[in-house]
Amino acid sequence: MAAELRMSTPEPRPVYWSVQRELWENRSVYIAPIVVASFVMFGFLLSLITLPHRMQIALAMDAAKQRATVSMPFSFIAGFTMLTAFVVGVFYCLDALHGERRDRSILFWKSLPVSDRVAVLSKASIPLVVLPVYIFTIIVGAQLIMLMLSTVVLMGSTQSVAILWTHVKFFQGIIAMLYALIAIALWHAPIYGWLLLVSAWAKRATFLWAFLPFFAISILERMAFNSTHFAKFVQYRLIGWFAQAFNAPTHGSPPVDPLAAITLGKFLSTPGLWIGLIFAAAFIAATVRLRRNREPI
Amino acid sequence: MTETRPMFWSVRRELWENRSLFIAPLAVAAMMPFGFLISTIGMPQRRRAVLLLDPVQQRALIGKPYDVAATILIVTAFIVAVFYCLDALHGERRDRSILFWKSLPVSDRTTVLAKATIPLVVMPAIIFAIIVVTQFIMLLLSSLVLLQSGLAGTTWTRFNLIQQSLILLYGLIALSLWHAPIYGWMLMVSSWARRATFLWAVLPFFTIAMFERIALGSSRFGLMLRSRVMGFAAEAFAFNKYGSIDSLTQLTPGRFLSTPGLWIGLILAAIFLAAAVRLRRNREPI
Repeated sequence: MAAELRMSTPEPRPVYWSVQRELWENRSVYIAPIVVASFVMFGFLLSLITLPHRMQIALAMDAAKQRATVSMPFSFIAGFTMLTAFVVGVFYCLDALHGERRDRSILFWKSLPVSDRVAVLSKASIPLVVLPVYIFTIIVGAQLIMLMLSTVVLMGSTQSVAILWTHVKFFQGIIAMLYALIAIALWHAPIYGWLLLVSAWAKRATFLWAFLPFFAISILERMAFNSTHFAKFVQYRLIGWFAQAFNAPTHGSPPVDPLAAITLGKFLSTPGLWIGLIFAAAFIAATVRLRRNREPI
Repeated sequence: MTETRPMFWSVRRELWENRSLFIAPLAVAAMMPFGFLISTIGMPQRRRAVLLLDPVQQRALIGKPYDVAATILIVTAFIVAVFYCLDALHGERRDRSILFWKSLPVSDRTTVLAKATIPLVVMPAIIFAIIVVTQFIMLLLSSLVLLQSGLAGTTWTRFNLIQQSLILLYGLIALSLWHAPIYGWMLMVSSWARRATFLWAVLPFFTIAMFERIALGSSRFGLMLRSRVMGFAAEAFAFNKYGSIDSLTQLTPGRFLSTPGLWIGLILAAIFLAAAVRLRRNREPI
């Protein structure tokens, strides 16, 4: 009988449903990136009118400049979707543990048999796993549509499609992007961890608590020593992943083969990555402890 | 019985509920004298070198830490005010306190206007006082450091605190008028959006700028936004070649008041605030 009952009732899978809950409650997590990507896409559609003309101009350029011009819309949509996802991730994290205290729903969520650890880890998985996977599919879809439309438009004109296909390495680009998204998630993990910690701790003004200490420290350093080491450190944490994970392009043009630019060994041997991950783990552990004693504000 | 003065108490309520409005600028300001004190090591020697330069450059170099302190505090106040506005009408719906506040005989117009006066009037006043006091403390510290070398007076003459305070006051008023549509927009989003106020406030502009960039290859919209955030300085002041303002003749209120952008912005601000009042009327807890 007991065995039968166990068979008939599905497992509760608390992590899965906690992540689902976050997505239901924070629809901006999936709406914002797709809206931004759609608008950029719409802009791209309008720009198709002048595409043959621009390709004509690009033909006269040298190889590196040509590559930059042709692949610009593709890297553009990828870059801006990633930036949107970062902004969404930051504000999601700031609200994740603060909002449920503020609207008192924490009382309900705590009444469920879901541990604080599961609740916090599922919230952390949104910026670290869910958003990267989600925007990966958006960007791949958008780039595929853009590539096909460009091909159709160029075939309908007197221009040859060869210039497009030689410079836009679609499949290599996808793999390089997947790698970049994983690298960004690992590199930004301490940022999200810190934001979750502030969200669990602050009673009000989460953004100010998260942001002002860093701002104030860099100001203090600037005033006292007229140096900017701390600001450079913050900048490194935000964008330093690129220089570690990829061979930085020499004169601003994208690499011929995106896969050849990947420097996985260098990225994994960067101390900053591992120190960051240790900090992320410490912040998330502190968040779990904090949530245990937190009550509605 | 005394008058109820709903406006006064509504503003008081905001200050009680949002202590970050004065705590954040105070905390940043408290760091300034420490940073400045460390930077005064070796100041007498440097000061002697500076005094050999031409007067305008002397003012620019001697006054630099004071200008930097003022700028940083103004930026802090801007950030605090933006996040205050985004939360002002959203937070009270989210924590359901709107039910209590609406039960009081305070109209929606009074409430929204009280919230709008925080970034437009209260914050500039707070930040003005904080900046003047911070600069005064820094001046005293620099005098103490320079006392032995007999150069203590050089800071006070090159950085005239009273004149600088007048310039600052004018700058803060200009900035507040120039930023009024930004705060109005934030308040409107705050009263309208159910969640993610920051994203609703910022993403539309970001998206339009990106759209223009990829469709037309131009960035006029982005430049328009930039001028809305920082454009006031170019209209309200005539900077000298070192980028500093050291006399009242460098203020150009005439040019500032005749900028169409100022008046268009103020009209937009009024529309946004009117919309926020209307929206609040029908809003309920989220």
